[in-house]
Amino acid sequence: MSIEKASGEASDSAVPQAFSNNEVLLDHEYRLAPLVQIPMVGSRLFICSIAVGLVMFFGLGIPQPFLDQYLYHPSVFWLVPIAFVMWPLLAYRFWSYQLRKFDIIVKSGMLIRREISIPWSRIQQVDSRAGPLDRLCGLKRLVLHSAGSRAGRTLIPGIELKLAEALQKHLAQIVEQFHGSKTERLAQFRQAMKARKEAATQSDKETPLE
Amino acid sequence: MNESSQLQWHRLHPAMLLFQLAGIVRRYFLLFVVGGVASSRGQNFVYFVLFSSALALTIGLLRYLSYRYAIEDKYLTVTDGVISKNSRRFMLEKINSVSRHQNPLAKLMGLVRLEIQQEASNLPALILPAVTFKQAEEIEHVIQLHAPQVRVSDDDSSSNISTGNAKADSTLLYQGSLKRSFLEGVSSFPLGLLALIGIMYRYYGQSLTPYIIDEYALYINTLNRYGISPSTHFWLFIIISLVCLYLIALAVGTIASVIRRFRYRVAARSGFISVVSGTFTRSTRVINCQQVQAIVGNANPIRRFFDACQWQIVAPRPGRQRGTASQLIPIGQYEEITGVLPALWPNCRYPLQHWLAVDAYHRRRLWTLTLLATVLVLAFITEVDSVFNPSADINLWLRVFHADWTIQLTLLIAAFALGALFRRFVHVNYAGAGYQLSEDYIFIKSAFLTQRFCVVPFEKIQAVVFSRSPMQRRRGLVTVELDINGILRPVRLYNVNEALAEQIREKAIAVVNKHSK
Repeated sequence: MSIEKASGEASDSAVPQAFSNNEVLLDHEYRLAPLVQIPMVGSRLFICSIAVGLVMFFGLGIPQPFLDQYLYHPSVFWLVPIAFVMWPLLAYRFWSYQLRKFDIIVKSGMLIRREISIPWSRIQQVDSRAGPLDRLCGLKRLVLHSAGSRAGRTLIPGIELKLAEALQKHLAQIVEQFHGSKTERLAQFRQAMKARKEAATQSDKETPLE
Repeated sequence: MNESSQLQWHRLHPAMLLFQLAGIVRRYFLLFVVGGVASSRGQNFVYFVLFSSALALTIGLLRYLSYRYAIEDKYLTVTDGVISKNSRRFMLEKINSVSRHQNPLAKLMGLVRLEIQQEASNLPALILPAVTFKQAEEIEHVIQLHAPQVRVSDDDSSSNISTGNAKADSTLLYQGSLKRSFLEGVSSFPLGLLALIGIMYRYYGQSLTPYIIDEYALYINTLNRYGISPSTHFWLFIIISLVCLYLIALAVGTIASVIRRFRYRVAARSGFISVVSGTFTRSTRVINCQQVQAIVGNANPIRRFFDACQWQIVAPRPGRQRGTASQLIPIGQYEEITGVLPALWPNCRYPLQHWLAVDAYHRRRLWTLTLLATVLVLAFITEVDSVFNPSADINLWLRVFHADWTIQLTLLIAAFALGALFRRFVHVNYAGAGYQLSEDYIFIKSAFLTQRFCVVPFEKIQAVVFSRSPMQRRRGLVTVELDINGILRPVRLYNVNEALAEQIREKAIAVVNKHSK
């Protein structure tokens, strides 16, 4: 996916300045790169093989008759892992993300569709990660950190390297804009409080004792 | 090194040695017991006691001698450790909260334990185990000079921590009492269960198995005397066991709650809320109202019967695990929130009436869920029964590939009949759900068994999450989840129409954006 030019809307004064760098499109619904299916299926295959191996060799404390009757039934034993592994092939189409004026929206989920909307000012940190399979496919994952309890770590997988770098740079700039200004405000507030306290102490000293 | 040698170091109060010893004894209690038993068999008990006391004294003394703190221009530095020396340096202006704790011994000696917490840090709090009131006040004064946003637990803790009286200029929001703490214990089963597990864990160390086996054998023998055994009256046995467990847990929980909570006190004073908790060890936590993320109330059926509610101030503490640092107001009357809210947020009024109802689909969804749950519970019972009574006919519920469907059909009809009985509950739960929007706040109430009330300021929302199931998509409905810092269970508004959901999201984003500029 190539980096597209920003629309005219991005020059709005209310929009964070990072959007005016003309690299990332505002309000455009980005989709995941199709190659993301490989790391998604690969990671699930890895988890599934470990789980099946553990159940087969150790039983995990499940009584043998139960395993024979239910878990080792061909329909369960093969269909469930296959469905689990193949699920991302369908589900990846439902992933998308959209950068808006004041927030970012990340959509995911095939049966139950989720839309996470995080205001820019709430994002504390943007990480990028790439596992071996991601690197093989030339992809990166972005992780948006906020102070929330449920959406505290929001993942956007399958972003092409170039776009991921541009996105991370822009997101970092936006975060800096918000948090930078907040730090300055806090410093001003502290200075004002200090001055007030000093003035109060000064006036106490000047007041003659009755 | 030169810089640190120029600092003016202060030692803690020598009574720290006593607290250290108490800590060592508490931490290594099991080791002492095991060592004591082993040495008495070898008739070396006296030597063991002497050796362990000397060791504990030496460790305590070394820790006392190595524990020092210094306050320089912008930093509070604490060093400790003999073998490996640790030094922690806190930027005074980054300090987020200071709280005082006082156990009975410290109270007797006029000492306090200071806990200093830094903002946006994952490190545990900096603890000064034993400082005098004068030292505590000095430290707090310096902190407040550098970090005026921190309200230290000044006179509130020094005078009230021991007396429990409210200051003249503070508004008392909640005062614990014997009756209230008893009600809390009676109405909270999980607390009882947790207390029971805690006591068993404390008493038996990490291995609970021998205890469970012994007590279980005793229990079985008692029931056998009345002609009840797991093999003959399986379900009666299960029901009696559950009732017994519940009663024990309830009794333990009630006692624990009465001991822990009856001197609880919450007071508001000029933008801050001070929470004094603990019966023996008194602690004061001063919460800046700006840090409060939400107010959550829980009313389970027992509490609702008494028109009571457990309110919770969600104010995350940095350095602790998320969601664990919320401050509880144990049990209060449902209407008490009308007094708490204006103290926190002056322009916030709790809507005791005129809640807006969620979509009627919510009732149908609850109804379907209830039916499904009934079917599953019946299926589970028959399946468990089949394990213990293999000769019985109804043991094929979960074997979906079996050809005989008569039993399943009978159970399905029974489930629907039972489900019809639950219809009234479904309606109560639907009626218990609602929402209300004001300029700056969103009020949500929801119910399944436990009714939950949430007050969330828009400016505290961290993220808005929409989720749509296939049925919801067909009806144009959305479940809106508001993500808040430090909350344990998510705040959800079920089945609202898309336009309203969009309105909530846009409003939240706009308010957050406005406040962060």
